[in-house]
Amino acid sequence: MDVVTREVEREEAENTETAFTRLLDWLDDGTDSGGETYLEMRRRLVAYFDRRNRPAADALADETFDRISRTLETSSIAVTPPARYCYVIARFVLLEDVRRERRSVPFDEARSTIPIEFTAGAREADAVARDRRLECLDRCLVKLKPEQRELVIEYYRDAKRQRIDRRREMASRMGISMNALGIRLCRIRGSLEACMGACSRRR
Amino acid sequence: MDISLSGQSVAGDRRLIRYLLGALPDEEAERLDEQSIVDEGMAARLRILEDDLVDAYVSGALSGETLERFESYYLASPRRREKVAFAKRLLAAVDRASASPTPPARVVAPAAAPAARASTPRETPRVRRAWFAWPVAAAALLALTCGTLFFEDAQLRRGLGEAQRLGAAANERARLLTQQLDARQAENAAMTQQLARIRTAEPVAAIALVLQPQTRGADAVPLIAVRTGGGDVSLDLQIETGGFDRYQASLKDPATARILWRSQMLGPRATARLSVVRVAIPANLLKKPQHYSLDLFGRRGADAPAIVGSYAFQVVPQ
Repeated sequence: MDVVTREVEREEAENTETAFTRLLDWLDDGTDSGGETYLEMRRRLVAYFDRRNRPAADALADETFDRISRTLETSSIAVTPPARYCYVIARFVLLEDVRRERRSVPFDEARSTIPIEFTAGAREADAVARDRRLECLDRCLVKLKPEQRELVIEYYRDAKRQRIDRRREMASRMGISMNALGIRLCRIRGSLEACMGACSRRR
Repeated sequence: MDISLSGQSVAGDRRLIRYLLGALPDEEAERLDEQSIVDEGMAARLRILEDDLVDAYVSGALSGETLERFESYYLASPRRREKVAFAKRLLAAVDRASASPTPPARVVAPAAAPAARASTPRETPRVRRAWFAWPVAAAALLALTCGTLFFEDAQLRRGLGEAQRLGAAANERARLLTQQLDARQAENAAMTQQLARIRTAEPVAAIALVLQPQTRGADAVPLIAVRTGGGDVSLDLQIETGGFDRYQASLKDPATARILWRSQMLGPRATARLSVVRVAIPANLLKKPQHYSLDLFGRRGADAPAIVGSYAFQVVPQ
């Protein structure tokens, strides 16, 4: 029985891998992004569900991809570009999530209660946690390539007017538009956020 | 407050910021929802603006309605609160990294007093330094203590301010939830009345309702009254992607993704204004009052079927 279970599990894992590869290929639409298109689409879907105030934005994004994968198992998809079909399915997923919420009339305790502590012990624990997270961020900054780290420091230093002027000067020096510079920094910032999240969970 | 830092249209950016703060009308927000996923340029622009908005909040650069909206709407999401927390840490880390080392402060020794004050030539300097050093040390200790107290006070004030802001955000969230609950209850009451009206209404002769592919519009799902025990429900599915010889529709329960029914192979019909595929769904499959979806597949020769559209509708049993 144990052998059969392992065989079934291995087959399921292979099927999952095949389905995921098929999804990546469909999203890439003829190019090979190395999974970047999938990561970017997932980020957009999570942001969409979060803007619609859905608590489980990550799960809804995964559900969207699961449904597209199931469709790809049996047929091709003529709707182009792939991002448009992702939006269509995401809308269905959103509508159903809203309907589920209406039926159960939830009250999200996690969102409603924001603990406010003023005890010395709580402040100290908060300070320790804060220091730990700053340590994580410092480690993640060190992990960046030197040119990326310098880019981050230069892009986010100073305040207000000086920051705008500095960014304009940076973009001009690099020979790119300010928008392109902004996109580049968004990506580095996103990787720092992910790194910090992983580091905080480990500690 | 100027958040548009990249030379893009300021008016366009202001609209996107209002979108991020949930301040646009529903229809306009839904158009941007679609663009935020489908349009690469729009997705990138939104990402940049959101980061800049969060950084502006952390730096204390937001004011007025934008600040109120940020604290009441944007901070209502745990995921977005985490973005703000990360931004604070990032800007603090950047400040630390970009601070240049300062040279050590020059210590200037107190000038020696004139010799006339000394009692003996040898003892005088030591005694003078002794009585002068204690007040200086006391003053330094007092300054240090005051500085520490001032720093702690500033931290407490910041913490209190932040707690008050979070408390205000929580209160606003509770108010919005209460409003939403009231609105939902009113909608439920309206739906119940509508259901009662439909059930008592005269039966409508079978007509072919035209459905459009689902692309946008949260509230644009058509309602179809279905008489149980009746024959078939005819629906004309508008085709936007043509070029196929035949079509096949499959009826799906979106909640379970289970396929309930498949049509035979169908040919397209061209009316004066549009091309449609007419499907006739047995009414006994549409018993539950819920959303259904119709996936339409196109077939060309012996090629594999290709999905050309998904059509949503809600059934009201009669």
